[in-house]
Amino acid sequence: MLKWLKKTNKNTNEEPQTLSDLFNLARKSEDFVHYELVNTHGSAWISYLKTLVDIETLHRDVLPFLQRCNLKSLEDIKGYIPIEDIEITKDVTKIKQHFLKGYIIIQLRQKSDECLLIKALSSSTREVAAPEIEFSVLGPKEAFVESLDTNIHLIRKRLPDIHLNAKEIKVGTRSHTRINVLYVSTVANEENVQTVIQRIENIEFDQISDSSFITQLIADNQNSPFPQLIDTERPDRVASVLGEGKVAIVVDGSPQVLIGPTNLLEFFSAFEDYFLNWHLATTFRLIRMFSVFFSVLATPIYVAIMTFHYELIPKDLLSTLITSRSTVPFPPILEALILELTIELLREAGARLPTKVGQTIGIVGGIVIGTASVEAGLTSNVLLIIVALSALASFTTPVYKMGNTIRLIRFPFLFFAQLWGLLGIVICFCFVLVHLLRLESLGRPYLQPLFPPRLADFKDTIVRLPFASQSLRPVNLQTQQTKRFDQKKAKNKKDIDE
Amino acid sequence: MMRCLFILFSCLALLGCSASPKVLDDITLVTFVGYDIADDSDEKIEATIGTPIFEEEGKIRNEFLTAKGNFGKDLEKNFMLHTPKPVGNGKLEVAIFGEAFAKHGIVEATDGAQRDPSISSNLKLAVFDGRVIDFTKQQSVQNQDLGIFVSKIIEHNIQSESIPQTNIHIFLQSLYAEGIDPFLPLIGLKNEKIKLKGLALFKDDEYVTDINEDIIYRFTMLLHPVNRGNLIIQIKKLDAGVSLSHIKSKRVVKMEGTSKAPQITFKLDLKAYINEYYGDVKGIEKQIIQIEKDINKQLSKELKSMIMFFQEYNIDPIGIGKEAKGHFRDWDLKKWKEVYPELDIKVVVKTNIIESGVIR
Amino acid sequence: MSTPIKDRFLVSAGLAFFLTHTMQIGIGVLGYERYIAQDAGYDSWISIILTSITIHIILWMMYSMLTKENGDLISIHKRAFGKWLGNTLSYLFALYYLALGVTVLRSYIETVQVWMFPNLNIYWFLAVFLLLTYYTISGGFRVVTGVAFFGVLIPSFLILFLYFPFRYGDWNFITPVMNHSMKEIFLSSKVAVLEYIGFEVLLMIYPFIKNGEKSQKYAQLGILFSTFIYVAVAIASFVYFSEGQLQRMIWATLSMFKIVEFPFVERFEYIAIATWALIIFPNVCLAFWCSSRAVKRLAPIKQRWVLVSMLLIAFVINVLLQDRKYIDMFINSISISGFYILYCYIPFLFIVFHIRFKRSLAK
Repeated sequence: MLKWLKKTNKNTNEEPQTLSDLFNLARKSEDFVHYELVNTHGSAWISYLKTLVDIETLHRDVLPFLQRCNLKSLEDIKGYIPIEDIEITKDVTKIKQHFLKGYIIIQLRQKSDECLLIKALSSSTREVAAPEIEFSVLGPKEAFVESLDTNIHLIRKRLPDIHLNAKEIKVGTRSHTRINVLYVSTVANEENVQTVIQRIENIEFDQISDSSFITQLIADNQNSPFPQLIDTERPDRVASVLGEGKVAIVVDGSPQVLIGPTNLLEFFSAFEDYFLNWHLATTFRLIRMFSVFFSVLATPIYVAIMTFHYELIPKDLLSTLITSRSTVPFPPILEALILELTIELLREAGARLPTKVGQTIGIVGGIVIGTASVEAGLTSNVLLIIVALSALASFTTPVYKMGNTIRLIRFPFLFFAQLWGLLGIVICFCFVLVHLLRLESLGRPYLQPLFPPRLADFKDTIVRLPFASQSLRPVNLQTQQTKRFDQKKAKNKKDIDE
Repeated sequence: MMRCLFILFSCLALLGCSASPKVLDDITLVTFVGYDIADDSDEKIEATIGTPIFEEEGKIRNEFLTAKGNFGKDLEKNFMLHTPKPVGNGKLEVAIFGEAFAKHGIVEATDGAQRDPSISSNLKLAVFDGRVIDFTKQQSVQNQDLGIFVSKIIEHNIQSESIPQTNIHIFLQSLYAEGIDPFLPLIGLKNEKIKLKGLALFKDDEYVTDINEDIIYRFTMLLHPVNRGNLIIQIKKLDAGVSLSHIKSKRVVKMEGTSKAPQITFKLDLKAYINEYYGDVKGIEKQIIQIEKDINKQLSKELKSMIMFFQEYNIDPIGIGKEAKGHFRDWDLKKWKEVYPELDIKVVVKTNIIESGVIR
Repeated sequence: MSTPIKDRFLVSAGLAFFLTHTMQIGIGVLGYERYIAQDAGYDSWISIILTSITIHIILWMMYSMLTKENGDLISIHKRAFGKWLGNTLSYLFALYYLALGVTVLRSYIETVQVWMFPNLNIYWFLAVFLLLTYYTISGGFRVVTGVAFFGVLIPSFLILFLYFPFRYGDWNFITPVMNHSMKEIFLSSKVAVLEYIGFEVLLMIYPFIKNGEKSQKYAQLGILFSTFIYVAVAIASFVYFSEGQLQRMIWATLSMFKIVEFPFVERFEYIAIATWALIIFPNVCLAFWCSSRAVKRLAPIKQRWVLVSMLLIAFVINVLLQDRKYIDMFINSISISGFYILYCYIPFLFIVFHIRFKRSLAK
């Protein structure tokens, strides 16, 4: 029994040594096509996976030419077929990889090791559509799709710069996912680029299904709940941060592009901020910052005050709070946990269900369960308001992953609030603060520009000042060119009536 | 895995060791406390506490408990025997002293309030002209917490400057300072309604005398500069009366001479609006100067007599001694106490009427 | 000479401001008013200013040694007293830093016990707090500096609430100014020194500051800011409390916060106490960092293990000190040793070091 197991294991791990080995393995699949083509000048063997290959390309650009051409040497064929990506090789691993990526293999004789690889991948991808997660009322309505080439196309279209380099790396021992690291070579810090490339090359993993895998695999601290790279579905955002000097990572098969190095505050800036006047953008950013604090701290503060520090409650609020809690049999912490879990439940259910059903669940759950639990005396209505508001506040975070983190770190705060009231909240805050201080994004401090303090970078973090004042690139990126444009030219000082 | 389990268990253990909670709805909130002298002199204090009971549909009922004992905690233990939930002092709003109790000194009764960190510095102290037990029985505050109600009465009168700022902190500040004696609001009942009757004046911590509600504002003017507030003055010469409002005052205490023989002058500059006027109403604008003069004369006379009243009792609630201490380097409390009752303190009032309303 | 520290572990010179300032403002500011007012009464705010001048001079002495040596206290000691005596003194200093951390933590816990949770489970609280300290220090000096930075910045909003005591205050209490003899004022100055103790950590952290010699300006500013806070708080409490009243207050600053009221929150002192955790946290971290760093420099032990054992020691000492009487005794002895270190030992070291330095140059 064991012996047999061992044997099969060995068998599956076996790599094809020759081309015929490869074909023997491939024959086990029904979609493998392998036949001899004969014309007046000779014959050739064609093999491909019909599910991967674009049949139209095959019929239009390959077969007619093959039939007419002189099948003497592979070089001749290469010269004859009007497709740019053609290679002649003997390397079996390479052939295997290309074969599995939709290339047609052409051999002169069935047993020959040398072959011609013709690219004929059928590209079936989604149309470029409007962004859903980072939707904005104003601005471009394009979002990335699952194809790497389309995605890079979308970026290049917005950043026609000869210095925009794309370095391709293949990752995943099984999936061989194509990953492109994009950067503007004259701007981006060399060290950052090298860090990214180094880390991607060091990845040991078999299957990369999405860019989120990369985020987690190259994160500086993989045990942190905080995302250390921003993922975005907006080509305009990527193009803009590339120009700022950041590095973008595009992963084939993922509609999310990663950008880094980043910092905590950047997660709270939406790209729409740049489409609005700076006053509005600043106000919205401040509201978002406030809502983060509110979302994390509101329920814990309620628990702390109700459990330990009733002295803090102003006298005019006393009766409201007491009457709202008078029928509730649980201590505040349980009450809060029940409600928080209910909200999380609703959110999770809404996220798993199709959009229309999800909405209904949200409304039904929110209204019916909320009112019923208050009427049943299980929760107080004051807390219901607080929990609902803090859930709402957590959704204002523009980057989805950060929103999740914010909802998560509320629970340790609740725990500490139950332990030592306000003091516990401060202690928990210290833990989070120290964690954030220790955290790095691609080797750059995560809390920048707060710490190490970089006053110059505040112009586009908590607030967004007018474009005229944004002539310098962020200091924390340590870019090669610090100037974005000439501030003097941008400013036009005019006298009255001139 | 073991590490995770360890963390989980220590978290649970931690929760078990959280600080002892006092959940808001699991305590008997005490918002009102009153002190009387016990009838049978076996025990010293008879205390009354008022706690709000929150009933269905947002109704509030006051419940009062009385206990006798020697000091605060003694009493609290006694109260605990009555209440369904532990007593919580954190939201204590007012402490009221019966007249007789206040005459024997109140500082011991406030010791607990000073020592206990959960009691606010903004706790209002007041004296009731009678026994607090009667006060709780006779008052007719409906559907409101008595403690909060009384404290709000005091608070809003402070806001509108009808009475000077007062709370336990100010009381103790004056009590422990040299050259000023404390005062507290004096409350009474009129037709079962609570009313601010005046100010109770203390010598050290003993209630000595009081001033009534008509002259509290004049007292405030002597105490500190005012910004708003109203004053009604009879003008004998014109056989009229005038009500001033939006009074803004500048207060300067001029000190001359030596600390042994000081010459003290209170200088008050008032700016005010005329709010109401009765008497000969034919064009008061012509008589403004006359009115101002009369007000000056009348007011200085009244203020002067008030100071003399204080001197008579040898109390100094407006802190003339404190002012002197701030001025004379060789000020000494003992000597001051000898000098003070005999001092001739002058009051100079200068009124400036800015507006006289929308009619002439 | 010590081996140079890698560039990525250094912090910029400006942060010296926060590092000096945070060590000075600690638990003392909660109740120092009573002590300094004992001799010079309500003139003692002048004493604070007098003290601060001497502190500026001592800081200058420290910097003059550090910039010359371009190392830390341990290399200074070695140069001034030779290997054996120097190292022994350095060990004493490590002990002193450790005691400093323990003192701060213990007094804070006492404050929490009196004001907030009389039956606080001190074991668990210490365990969590020391775990937090370990987590911070094991992140390296940059993280400790970061904590110091936020530990100054975030609680600084509390300064605004001094408005309330001023509103209730009476300026007659502090006039006439200078109504005490010079002797009384000097006596108060001596007491005020205790509030400045702690900035000796600069002796250890100096090599971690980028362009160390430029940081003197910022460190001096840090002391200036501490003086500003001490004087402001002192004056606020002097006008807020009458003299007899102040003498009854153990935590005058906290009692002052009791008067702050807003429509949405009353009893601000609870918030102040909780926020104070953020003020003392960098204190504790810096003290333990310095202490463990000193031992690491002296003996071939990993700093991590030194730190762990020090935290255990701190835990035990804190648990043993349960009585107000002993706490006071402990704190007093630390304060006195701090006083002598500042005013006797550092000038002495200053002289010895410079003589030795000149001699070694001559060679």
